[in-house]
Amino acid sequence: MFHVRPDSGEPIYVQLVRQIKHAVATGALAHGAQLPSVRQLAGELVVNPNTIVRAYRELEHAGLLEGVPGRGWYVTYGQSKLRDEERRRRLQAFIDQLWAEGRALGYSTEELADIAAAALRERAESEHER
Amino acid sequence: MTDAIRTEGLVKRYRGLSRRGRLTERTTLAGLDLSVPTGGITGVLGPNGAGKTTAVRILLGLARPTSGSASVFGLDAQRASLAIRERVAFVPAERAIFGWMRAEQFVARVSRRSTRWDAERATKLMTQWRIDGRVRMRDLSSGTQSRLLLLVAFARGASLLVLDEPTTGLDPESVDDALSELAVSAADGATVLLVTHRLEEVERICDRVVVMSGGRALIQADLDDLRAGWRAIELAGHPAVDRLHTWEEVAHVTRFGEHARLLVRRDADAVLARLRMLGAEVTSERSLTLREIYLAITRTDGDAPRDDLA
Repeated sequence: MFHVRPDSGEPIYVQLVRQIKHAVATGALAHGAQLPSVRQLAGELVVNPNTIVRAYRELEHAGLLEGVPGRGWYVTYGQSKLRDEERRRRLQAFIDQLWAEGRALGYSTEELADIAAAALRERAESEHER
Repeated sequence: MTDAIRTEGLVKRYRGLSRRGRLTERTTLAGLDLSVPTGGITGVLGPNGAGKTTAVRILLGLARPTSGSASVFGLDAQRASLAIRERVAFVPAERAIFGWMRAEQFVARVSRRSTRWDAERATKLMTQWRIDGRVRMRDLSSGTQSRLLLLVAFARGASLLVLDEPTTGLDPESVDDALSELAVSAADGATVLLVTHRLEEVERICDRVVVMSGGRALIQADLDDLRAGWRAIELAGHPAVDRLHTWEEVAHVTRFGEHARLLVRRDADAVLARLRMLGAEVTSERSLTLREIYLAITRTDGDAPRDDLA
């Protein structure tokens, strides 16, 4: 599920934090899902177990995971907040792209807003009919 | 908590005769102060002749220090070497094997002497690493011999694993398998001391690093702290570039005409501020790889051990 590159210059725990956030944001790890144990993941990724612990702790601090002593690590319901943020961040990238392409084609920002709104309304209507 | 390993002022000199019949003395450890906390994986790096293997041999009671002290889990390395060896699994750099013995006999022999033998893990690894127990050890490939020694080390359930160049001669897949088991042992609470020349292994799996040179430990630090501390700074037009090497934080200065590159070992932000105040133009700044840090440390401070004639 996860993979790390020790030579990328980015600390391994940071890579893991990013990937777990991503998995939660995309729904690959749902609320309540159990993460691999530190022992298992350290063996699979061939990294130091303390690195995994560090990543899990950081995510616990961010409200994304919960460590249950003796049982393991679970995805918790800080989920909805982070998930919104992550979704919004990704959407923003497309909006920025739409704006840049549209401006390059000679539309004003107001025109683009109207066109996008009209196109999305059309979508909503066709979804509604089905 | 007691340190897993601690040495204080450890010195080892070997005496011998030169070819001309004169008394020679070789110092392999020149006052080694080492402390390895319990838990985690510590990588021991250093050029050949740095004293890594000698230190390990003394810790396991296989060699006597000339002076100084060494202990493992608080037990004196000389007086309690049997008790120590019960808690330590050691894979030496020179792979001593019982050539006539079948692999499974060897495993059985070690298991009988181990109080915390993990039979399940041994069986699992025999299968996973495709070691045929019926083959005599001398007929195994050198890679398989290494894997067999690692297997018994992992299955012993030792509190401390001391592995001296454990992945030498292994193919990349076997290296990964071995390091993976090492990570699992550490997760189970074992302390691991990994003596190696492979910086990429240390970068991947260790959380602490010791750099030895000339029979001393030049650095012993948390790997993340070490990497966070070092920085390469490139400058143009610094008026006092010739004096920068005297700054305490600066480990190394390289000049290229009007430009200079500094390797800074700590407090890089303060160094940057001072440089700018002195009118230098900082053209770039970046963190260092473990390889660059290692080379900077061993080239700056490290003297090779000298063969002193007495």
